[in-house]
Amino acid sequence: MTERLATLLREEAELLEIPSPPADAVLAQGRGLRRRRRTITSAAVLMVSAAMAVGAIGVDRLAENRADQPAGPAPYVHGGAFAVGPSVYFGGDSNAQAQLSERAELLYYTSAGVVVRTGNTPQSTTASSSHFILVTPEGDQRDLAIDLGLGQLATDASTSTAAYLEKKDDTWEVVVLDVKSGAELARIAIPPVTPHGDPDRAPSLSLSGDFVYVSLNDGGVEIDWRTGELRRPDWFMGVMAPDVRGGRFVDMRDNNLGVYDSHTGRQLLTVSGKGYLELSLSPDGRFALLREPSAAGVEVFEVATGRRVTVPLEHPVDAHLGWTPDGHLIELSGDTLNSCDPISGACERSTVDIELVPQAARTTITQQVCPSDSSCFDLESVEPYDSNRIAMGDDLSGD
Amino acid sequence: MPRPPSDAEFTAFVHGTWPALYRTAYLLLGDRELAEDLVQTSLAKTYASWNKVRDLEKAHGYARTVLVNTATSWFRKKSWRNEIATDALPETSYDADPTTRPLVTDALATLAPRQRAVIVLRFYADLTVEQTAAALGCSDGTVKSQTSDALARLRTLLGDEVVPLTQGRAS
Repeated sequence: MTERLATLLREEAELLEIPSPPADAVLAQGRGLRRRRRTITSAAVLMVSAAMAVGAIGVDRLAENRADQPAGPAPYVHGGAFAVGPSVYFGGDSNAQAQLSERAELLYYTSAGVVVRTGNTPQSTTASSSHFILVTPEGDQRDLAIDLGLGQLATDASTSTAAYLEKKDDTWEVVVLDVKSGAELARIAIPPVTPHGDPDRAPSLSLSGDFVYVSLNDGGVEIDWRTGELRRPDWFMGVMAPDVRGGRFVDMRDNNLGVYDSHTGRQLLTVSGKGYLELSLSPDGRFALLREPSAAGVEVFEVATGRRVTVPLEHPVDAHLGWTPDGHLIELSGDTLNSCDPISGACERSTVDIELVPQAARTTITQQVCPSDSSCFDLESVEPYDSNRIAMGDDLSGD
Repeated sequence: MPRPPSDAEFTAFVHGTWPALYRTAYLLLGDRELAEDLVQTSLAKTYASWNKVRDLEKAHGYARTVLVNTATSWFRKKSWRNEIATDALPETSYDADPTTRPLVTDALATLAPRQRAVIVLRFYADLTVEQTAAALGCSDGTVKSQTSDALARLRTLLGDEVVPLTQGRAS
């Protein structure tokens, strides 16, 4: 019944004026991407060789270095966390702080440490299990014993709480737990989700202090998880899955991106620009990162004052980039960690002793591809699973 | 390990595949500059991942998959800067005369980015609901509801002749 629409789409697409392909630029960009991937691969080979040669010495050195590590959360708060494969690192320190049994997929900041998600993520295309492990800045691990499948976990970097949605009969319930003790702090039913969505897929949510924000099909709900009070803020009607941080969220209104207060809906900051822009809040909501794919750098705004600085990242477009809990930007490029101050824009580099694991055996998969402009064919490809995938804390990476 | 293409081979591939990829990118994004950026990035990623592509004959399909995935990652970012002109067309003023009816591409520009992506993937790229959901990283139900909402909007702009009423409940 949509043949006419499809036909018109194709006819109009055919009439488009096609610009000349920048083949040289494509090649140059492709070589750059390949070099980046080789950096990690080369490091893996070197690490395996070194481990075989000096394995026993390595154990002693590791013990020495652990004794030198500063205790307490300060390095974590300022330096953040990231993972390469199953290894989790803190604060730019070159020693792996924790080795997990699975590859880290996502890292969520809390005041008790970083919660690492393994297995499925909300972006996974198959429904399988997901696991959550709290890794403290001291390297201790605690399995949170929850499996959200494709569901979201929401944390607040300034508290030790986490929130998620669990379905009981036909009702979704917000569950708030203390990741430090594992204690369930609250369980609150939310209003019914309208029938359009997948009934088994949880709505999106975010956590900011005492409030959980859940997106429904007709706006959203703000839940004070300490009192159980539910509110339907007016501002929630036009906002798609707000990611509330420090009581602030990003939205686009009147063709301008802005930062808004989640309690009052008041606009705190507005930015403008041309083309594709991305605005992302730091975990505490104090800073906002503005990126354009074609720009040479990124800009960080201090939300309260509107003051902006340009931050000289190594790879502003496709960096492995994340926040730290206190709003520093961290960028991992090869074995170099670039940590940038959100107020001065100054960056400090340090070398990270990355420990890589051997790549898992890859499987070849065959997928039928049917381009609209040619007949179908089988596309054989290697399963794109990287055992040493990089996951930054509060990841801002584009891929 | 498959042999990487020579510069001449890859350049020829870029020239050959560029028009089709550009058309898809433009329909997805509705902006010429962004469409160029998207195609260039997708082809560069294809070059960098040649061990997965293996040969030039299959590279177009791979590049198209990368293009959709890259566009989707843009949509997934915490904010997506929608293009201007969301109110450029009146709400319910389609003309029965096809010579004065708005272009479908103009009508697409009035949709939210994810709704437009759903329409393009389903009715231009011929993906199924399940394939579209997988490409956009959302549920089948979300694809259906987004399709339904988008078609309702297009119907008000383009008329029942282009988007028949019975299509309102997307399956």
